[in-house]
Amino acid sequence: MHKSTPDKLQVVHLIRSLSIGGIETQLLDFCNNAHEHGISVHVICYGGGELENEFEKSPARFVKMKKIKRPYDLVDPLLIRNLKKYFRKHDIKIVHAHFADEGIHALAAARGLNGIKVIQGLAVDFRLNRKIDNLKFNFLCRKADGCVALTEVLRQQTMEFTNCIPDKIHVVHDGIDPDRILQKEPSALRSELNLPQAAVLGGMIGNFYNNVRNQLEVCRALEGAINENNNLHFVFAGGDKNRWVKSGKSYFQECVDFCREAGIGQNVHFLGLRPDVSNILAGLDFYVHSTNYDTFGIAPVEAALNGLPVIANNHPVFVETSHRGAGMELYETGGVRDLTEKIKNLSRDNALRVETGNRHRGHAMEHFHVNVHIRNMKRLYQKLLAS
Amino acid sequence: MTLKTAHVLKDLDLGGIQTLLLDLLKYYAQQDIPHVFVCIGGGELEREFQSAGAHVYFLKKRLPYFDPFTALALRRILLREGVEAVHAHHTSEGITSLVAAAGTRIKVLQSFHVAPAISNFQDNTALKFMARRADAGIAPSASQRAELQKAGYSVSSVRTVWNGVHPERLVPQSNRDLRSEFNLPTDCRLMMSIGNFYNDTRDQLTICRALPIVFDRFPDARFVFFGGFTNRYIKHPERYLKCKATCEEAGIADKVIFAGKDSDIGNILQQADLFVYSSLGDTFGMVVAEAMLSGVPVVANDLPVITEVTSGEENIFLFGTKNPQSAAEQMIRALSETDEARNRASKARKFAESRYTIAQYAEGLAKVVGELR
Repeated sequence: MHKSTPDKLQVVHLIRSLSIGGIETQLLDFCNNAHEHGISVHVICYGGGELENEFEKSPARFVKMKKIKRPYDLVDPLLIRNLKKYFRKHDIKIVHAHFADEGIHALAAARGLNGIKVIQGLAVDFRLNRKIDNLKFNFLCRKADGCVALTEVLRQQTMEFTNCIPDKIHVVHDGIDPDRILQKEPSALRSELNLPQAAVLGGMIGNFYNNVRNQLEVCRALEGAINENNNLHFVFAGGDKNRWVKSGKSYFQECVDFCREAGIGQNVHFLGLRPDVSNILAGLDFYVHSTNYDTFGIAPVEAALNGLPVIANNHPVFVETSHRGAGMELYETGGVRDLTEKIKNLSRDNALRVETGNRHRGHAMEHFHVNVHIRNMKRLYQKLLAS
Repeated sequence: MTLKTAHVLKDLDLGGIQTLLLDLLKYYAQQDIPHVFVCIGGGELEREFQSAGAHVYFLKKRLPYFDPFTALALRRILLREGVEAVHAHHTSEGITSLVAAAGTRIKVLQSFHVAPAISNFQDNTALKFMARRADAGIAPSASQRAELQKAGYSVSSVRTVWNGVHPERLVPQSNRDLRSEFNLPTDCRLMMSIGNFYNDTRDQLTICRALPIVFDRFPDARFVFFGGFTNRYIKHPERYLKCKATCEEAGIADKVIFAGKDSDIGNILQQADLFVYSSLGDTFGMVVAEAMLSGVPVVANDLPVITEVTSGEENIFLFGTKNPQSAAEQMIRALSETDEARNRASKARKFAESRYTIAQYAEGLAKVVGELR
């Protein structure tokens, strides 16, 4: 196991929790591969989560620290002191904070230490943030040495919502580790769902809270597609609550009710929050994603890496990450009929699925492989250190 | 340090200006040079621009020539991005940029990529206005600057910056074999020309008229024309049809292929034995520079801009403009004197490498922009 070696670039990633989510998953892939690019990663976490074991097993050095739990927004001087000590001891050069709270603590801890650069990650839609978080981000964007936005769309949004100097915001697209996402053994999903061999299975991965995704739009489109082809089945994998959002505030039940009332309940399967994403993707024939606020949309890219044909709405983020439709089939947001047609086309034509899937995989491999992400990130680290 | 520049271009169809800008954006992104690119409208190259790794905005234009809402949107982008100079690459973009930058300290640059003789009255009027009002003008060659002056443009603030080519673009994107793709004999001598058939910029017709003489001498030779026949403004493929008819009348239609547009220029040029170009209104002749950089022997007409960009007979074979007999003689010479052709191609490559890289183009622009400080 690699853990940390002093001759490499010492980088701390500061993250509050390790629940299953896009930022956490991306960081896990980064941790598993960065050492091959001359980066020694230290992950400092002051919360827990489902991915904790994965991080502990990764080649990164995993450290847990404590922070005063309530009030949440309080700046914890003890955490700052511990971070400062850690940075000094391990000769840390880069501190990369992933949310606003981590950013405040990272900045405070790095203050007075020579040669440390603080990078603020920007991965959350400002329109969904709490006001206090947007104020924090505004402060952080001005004070951090650099900011990393997941997409050009988010970079432009950051300029709208903060007073950050535009040239300080860098765009580094997420990158995915195919080793994590490609399952070698056959998927157990179809047998789990008792699906016949002839069934065509589509799917979407994403949680049902915060209004980030729009599974209901997919349910509406499925109505027409399943009514035409009863062999078509669809799975939704995603949770309806987390530690901050109660189940009642999600729209999970709305989707379940819609499918039941539309008479497609037998063909639409709600799996709940699942850690076995690779198993699910390996069992699918095609992937559909509808979003309101994704800032990158890691799930469709993971699906594409699996060789699945991907349909997504023409949200600006997907227009950008698919390079205007090269890496995903895009449908007009809100265009249920358009989506139904696209699902119908894929569900009835195996050759089309294979051809489209290969094309989407090629695009994802070229642009969103974890090595591309790490190379770009390292370039940014080096640029900041040289400045 | 250079000023942060926003490049503004209307339409992203495959063409010389678009290719140049795509190379420039890739270079900016790779070198971390602050920049913004604003595209008004879309086109075939949208995906390439989106994936260039650059900061790209796409704006819509609802009115045909000048849309005040587009100008307002552009102004917002310029101010929000902290842009210090805006560089327009064609007519309506120039007017839009000028309005967008009005009342700010943002400098306005106007490129003159199109020859005045090819531009219509409306474009010439607007560009003459821009030549006077822009803080600086960019001509891609000294010949173009002279043409502008001859056409009554004010050229006191127009500087010459030669266009450049990103070396990545000349790397083949595929390993396809043109001879088998077009069912040509595997050992045929392959001549080609690259350029759209839209307007009078190129003169493929002279080449078509020269080809019967060349095929008489070299029956095994074949010729492929790459280039689009129509675009959103030119709906009728008049020039292409004329060329095709000429080849049919001369009985050489089976030896001449009109292949349409192809963006894999690296692959195409790699397979050429001879590159032939005939122009009536180029302002730089990007594809000639690309052929030179690829080490392919070049035969081209003696238009001043071609002579300037290639340094003439020293590096390529020149023929008289609109003279099919002369074109045929030079093609035959290049195909028969292979050592001389190779020698000139090698010299041409070195010459082009010393002048037409995208880095040199970017530096040239930075110098002009820097003078505006």
